[in-house]
Amino acid sequence: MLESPDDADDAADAADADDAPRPDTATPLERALRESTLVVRAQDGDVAAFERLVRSYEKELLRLGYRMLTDVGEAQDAVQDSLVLAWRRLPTLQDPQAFHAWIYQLMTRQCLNLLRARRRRRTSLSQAGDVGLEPEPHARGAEADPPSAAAQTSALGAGLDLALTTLPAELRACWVLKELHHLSYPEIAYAIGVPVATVRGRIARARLHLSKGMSEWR
Amino acid sequence: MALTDTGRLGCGRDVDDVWANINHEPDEHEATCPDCQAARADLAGLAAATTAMVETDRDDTRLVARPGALAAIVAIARTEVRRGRTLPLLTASPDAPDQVTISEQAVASIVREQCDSLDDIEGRRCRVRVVDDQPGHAPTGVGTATSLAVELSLTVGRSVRIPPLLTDLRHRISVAIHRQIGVPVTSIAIHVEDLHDD
Repeated sequence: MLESPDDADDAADAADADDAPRPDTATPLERALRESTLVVRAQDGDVAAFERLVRSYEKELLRLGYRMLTDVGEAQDAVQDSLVLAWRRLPTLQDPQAFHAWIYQLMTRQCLNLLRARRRRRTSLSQAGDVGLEPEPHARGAEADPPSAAAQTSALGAGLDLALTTLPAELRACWVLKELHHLSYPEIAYAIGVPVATVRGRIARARLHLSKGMSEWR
Repeated sequence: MALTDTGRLGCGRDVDDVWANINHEPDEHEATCPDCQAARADLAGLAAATTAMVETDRDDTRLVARPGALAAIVAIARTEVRRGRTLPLLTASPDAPDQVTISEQAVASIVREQCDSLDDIEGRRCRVRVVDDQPGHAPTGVGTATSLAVELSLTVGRSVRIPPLLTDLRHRISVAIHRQIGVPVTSIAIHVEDLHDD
């Protein structure tokens, strides 16, 4: 169950300044339109505009889902659920310019909720206490998909791949949004629902954890 | 390891700044500061692996949407489509047996199409309402066609002269609505909410 996103007004601070048309998403027959134009049209019920938004985001959200959940199938489900939710909640988005951070918010929270549910299942099985922000035990266990071929062939890549799976979910979300998806600190703060200072702290801790993890790997 | 969990190095510099410059030559401070040099050394491997991970994920053939996922999402959107208000096209109650109605969304799509036919305009929000009586005319009777009033917001290219463009757009919208729906448009209120770079 996805948590309700924060008041959409907050999204104004996280608005993506770069609202240039996304030409890679348009078929030759479609005129390139600014993302915020597509968002407003989709809010008004234009399914074709929404379809263009879906096409432009589904791959990047899938990459986020994979790095959060380490399972391609679960990531695909999470993307689908987030995009359907996006359609339903679009009318509540006050600032169309904030769509970028907003869609990342829906997907990130979906992933964090799935990870919490996973942890709850493990906790109830092992009768252990609440693990809170602790890393997931055996994140690369039998249920996780194997790392990509490229990561397996590069020691450095494999080290990061593994270190990332041992990073606590809340830190991992911040790091992945910053370094793999290039969101700004305010956008990440909006997506996760914490202050910018918290995001800064989490990313510093994530870098420390990952650097250490990689040096152990080498 | 020079990195700390506060993100602040011994010299006072934020590790964010070191990270931002990691793929470039050290700046003047970094070239002489032992804290920054140590942090750069700690971060070098992570930076290279991060760049590689972005590319690897982008090229990972497993990370594609499930076949049919787009169609499934769009199908759900269509079943839950927001059609806006229902507009009666004849001056009778909307539930009269011979009434003809149209959704606001259907009219808006005609308006957006006309906006898209002009390169320098992006049509955004569109509201449509029924005007029962045309100004200057005697009230129309039950069963005659109504007319529509359109409100439209748009963004216009920065280098465009707006007045002639909007005259053209108004004309196109009126003609298209009349041709496709058969009712006149009495007013088209346009709000230019933004100017975009061409």
